[in-house]
Amino acid sequence: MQRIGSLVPLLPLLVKGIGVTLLLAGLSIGFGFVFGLLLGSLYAWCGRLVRSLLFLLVTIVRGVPVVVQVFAVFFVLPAYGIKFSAVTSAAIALTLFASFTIMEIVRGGIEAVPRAQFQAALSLGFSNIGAMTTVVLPQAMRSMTPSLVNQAVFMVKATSVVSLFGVTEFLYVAKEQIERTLMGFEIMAIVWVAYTLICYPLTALGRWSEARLKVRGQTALASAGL
Amino acid sequence: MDGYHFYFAPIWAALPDIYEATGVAALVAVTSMALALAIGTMAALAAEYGGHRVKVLVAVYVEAMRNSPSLVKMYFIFLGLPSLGLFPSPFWSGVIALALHNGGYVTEIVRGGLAAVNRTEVQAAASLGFGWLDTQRSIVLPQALRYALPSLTNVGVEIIKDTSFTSALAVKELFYLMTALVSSTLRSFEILIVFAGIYFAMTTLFAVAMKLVELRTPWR
Repeated sequence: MQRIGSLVPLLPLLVKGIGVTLLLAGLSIGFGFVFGLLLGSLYAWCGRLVRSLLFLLVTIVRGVPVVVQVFAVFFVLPAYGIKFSAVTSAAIALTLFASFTIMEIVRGGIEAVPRAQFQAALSLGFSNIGAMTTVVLPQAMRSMTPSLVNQAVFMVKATSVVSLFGVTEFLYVAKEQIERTLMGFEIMAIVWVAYTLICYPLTALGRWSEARLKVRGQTALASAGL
Repeated sequence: MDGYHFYFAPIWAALPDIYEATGVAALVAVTSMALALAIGTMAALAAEYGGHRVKVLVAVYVEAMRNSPSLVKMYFIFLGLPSLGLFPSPFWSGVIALALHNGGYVTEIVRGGLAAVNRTEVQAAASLGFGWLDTQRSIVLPQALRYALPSLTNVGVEIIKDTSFTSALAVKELFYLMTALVSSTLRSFEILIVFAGIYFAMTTLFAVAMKLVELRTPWR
């Protein structure tokens, strides 16, 4: 019981760590979404050269551990005189990773919208950008939502990687306190539960949107007499 | 920074170490994959055929695994279990954490596969006098796992990438060696290219090999 009592003074530190974790997750999800939308639209739009370049990049990003990508931003960029603070470097690395994985989701979403929609919009006098933003993307968003939510969960978890580079996010703070207090079991249990409390609502949202999408998709097909 | 001079010599000198570290990473990956597949398959079968309590237990397991990073489970096993008098080695802490974490995903995937197997298959097997275990082993699971194969490949790729986390427990695998080499040689860019290349080769080879297995495994 005394051990539990001595955990209380650690809580403010851990909460601060959670703040950094949420900040990194928020930044990488937010910017990743914006860049992912841009890259995904670029992919749908551009010719073979840009496509193969983007495909190559996304294959590399997905085939190499996130740790190695964070490493690249932390150790390779400074060698060229580009220096950032630890948190900024972490945010950049995670954003890069998020952008390319979200690009894949956006690409899939856009490809799922029949091309005729785009052509019909053009024939109604929409500009390229107008057809994309008002006709194609809103429809694509619907099929993309579950994957995007899952990607958000993935990003929250992926922020833990930067603890290996000394960024004082949740897991790093927790490990520091374990080294100080030797209460590994209690502190890691708290960390585990806290991550679950952060991620579970998102996971549930993902599942809910998936189920809703499926049902609506079926009724749409049924009403079309298919 | 005019004219960067590539200097790979220190990396070639470390080639035996790199070879060994690749082996360790591969061993961590293969062991975790086998355990994750075993855990996931058993949990999926338990959820499919077990009572209400078992179903709830499996659901709790799956949520406990997929809503937190695998690193958390690694530290929990490596730094937390010693409080209970258990002292797992770095290697096994990493392997068990990866197996449990990814076992949660495998559970969901295999459950999907089981749901895809036609119910009449089970009934036909029963009418032929197959027991439950025989039905699962030779009728249901081969088909369910065949359905699940593409998703299982993705989990395998994640496991290969996640072996890099075991460096946090000082398992001497690729990422551990990578950071050690950077601090001893300072050739960070060359090291990045080589090690990213090795990881990329491992994930790509695995994915391609699984694709071949997929193509050569007939649907029954």
